[in-house]
Amino acid sequence: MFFFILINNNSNKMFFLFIMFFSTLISISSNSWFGCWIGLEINLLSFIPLISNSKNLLSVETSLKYFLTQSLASINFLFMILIKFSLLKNFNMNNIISIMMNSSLLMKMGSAPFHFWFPNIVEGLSWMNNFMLMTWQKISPMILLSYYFNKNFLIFMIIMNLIIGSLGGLNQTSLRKLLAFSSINNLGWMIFSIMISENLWLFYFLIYSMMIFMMISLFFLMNMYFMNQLFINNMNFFIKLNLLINFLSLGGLPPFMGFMPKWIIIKFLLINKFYFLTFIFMMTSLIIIYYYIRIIYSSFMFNYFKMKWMNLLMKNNMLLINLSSFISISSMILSTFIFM
Amino acid sequence: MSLLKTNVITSVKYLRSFSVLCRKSNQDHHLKKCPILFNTQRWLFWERHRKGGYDTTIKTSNWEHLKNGLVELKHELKLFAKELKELYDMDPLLIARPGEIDLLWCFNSPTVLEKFVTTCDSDHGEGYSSCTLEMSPAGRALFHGYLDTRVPKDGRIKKAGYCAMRSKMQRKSFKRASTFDWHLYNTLVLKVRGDGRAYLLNISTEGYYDITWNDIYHYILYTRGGPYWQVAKIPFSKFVLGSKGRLQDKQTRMRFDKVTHFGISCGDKIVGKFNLEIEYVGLEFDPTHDEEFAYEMYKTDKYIVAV
Repeated sequence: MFFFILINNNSNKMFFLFIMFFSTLISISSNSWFGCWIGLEINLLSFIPLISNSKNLLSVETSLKYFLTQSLASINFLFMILIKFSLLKNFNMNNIISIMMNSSLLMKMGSAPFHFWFPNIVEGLSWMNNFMLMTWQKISPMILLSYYFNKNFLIFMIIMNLIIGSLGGLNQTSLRKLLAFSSINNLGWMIFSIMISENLWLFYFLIYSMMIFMMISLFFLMNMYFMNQLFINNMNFFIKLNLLINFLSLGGLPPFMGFMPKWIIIKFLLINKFYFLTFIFMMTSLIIIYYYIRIIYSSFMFNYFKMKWMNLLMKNNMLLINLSSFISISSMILSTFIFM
Repeated sequence: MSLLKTNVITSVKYLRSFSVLCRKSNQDHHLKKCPILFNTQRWLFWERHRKGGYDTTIKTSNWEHLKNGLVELKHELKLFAKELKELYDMDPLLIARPGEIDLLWCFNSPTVLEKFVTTCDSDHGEGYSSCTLEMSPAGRALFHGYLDTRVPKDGRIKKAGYCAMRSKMQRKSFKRASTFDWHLYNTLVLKVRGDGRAYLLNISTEGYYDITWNDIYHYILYTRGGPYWQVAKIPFSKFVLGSKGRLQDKQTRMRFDKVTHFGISCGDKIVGKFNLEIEYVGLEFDPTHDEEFAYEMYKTDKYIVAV
């Protein structure tokens, strides 16, 4: 991450990145709801300069839209905290205030049914900014969600997330929007995991971040933003293989790395007797794997033209690509050596 | 808005005093005192209206609105059903084959002409040009008229003489605004038969916020006169960004998936008739074209603000 920033000769970004990291830590380690809110606000404040790039009109528009939606959610969150302090004097979690607080945090994350801004904004950001948005920006709302959540409401939200994440990505041709809907689907898995235990969520989140990092770094190196760019370039076979492995891993297919966290979550689902929810989890995963496979198969079958600029970059970065393929394939097997 | 109004009033008075001065003093004196920019100074970047303040609404009664609405409802429901079917098919266009031209508008019947709107400076009393878009005797669209650079004498207009045709806003069902999605392509193809004049091709990418409402990408198309048709293939890298006619110092890439309008305009300050016959406007993907931007840009120091 820092390597990419150094390439761009922009040390301002390092400053804002530091504040962004710090703000998440403020949010999750505070002992008062006000501290949580402060962390969220500083997070927004430091993320906006990272994404607004005045050289590109679209990113200016995107950063303004991001600011508007996130500040609305923050205001909502603050107001609900104040109402909770003044009106409610009990610890009961099944009430309207917990629903409202959870809604504002879900809106911060881009979870359904407050997801309408998410694909739109992801479409306007560069790959590295998307990586920050899809991984780091989810941490503090998730953990805050775990402090005070309404179980029934969240289960309903999980179902909506899964369905919208899978069905929304079916008719997309932009790679960014595709990953955005995949992120919404994975949010469903993450919300359930945080209801079980924070450790489980951390496990899922770390593996998800790693998979997303591998995908996004591949797209970033090849400068790919749309699906047709996968077909028209004459890609090296190993790059295509890496794409196959990473996409299937993201979809949760064994024996790849992405299967492991999903497997454990399904185990917890069944232990807690959420049978219908398990069914929805599985079916939506299938739909997601369908559209990943559609992309991969087309990229293997179509073979059009050679673009000179792409091959040069690839020679220096084959190490990263081969390493990511290796990690994705062998994680499951190697983990048995560690944990057995 | 009030700031703007006061500015107009003071500068009109200023003008009057200038004309008085003109009678008394010679030309040199007038030129020395005359500032370059007055009367059109804008204190705000904010745009109140999408169409720049021109009143283009057609006044209809509520009863007529209701009747029109009922007729439109049937049409909109059909469109909605078509959209749902497309969603169910889940088969978006993934690739644009090289060498194939995907036509946006093929002007071989009068129904296509309804998708365009013509504007000229005489519409709002700002000039004396006229233009129309109709079918030519050869069976293609003919954008023709008379360009007149005479300025009407009402004190507020400095220049006149433009005629333009522009596509109407793309709409989804129930009149929702939508955009063209040209991310698969990198070249615009036009088959035209001009009269030797230079026409401006305008691609407008109005965004969500008012800052970008007037952002139009221009390209000057030089036409050959004469009986032969010309096929002009213009890559998108050749287009230059301008806002309200002023070319911007900070050029940015066109947002191919958020294109709202396409238009052709004539404003080359040559008084006389103009004729442009168009057969089709289409898009192509040229894989051999790898230019990002055709014009040289300079890296400026950080204290130069606009770039």
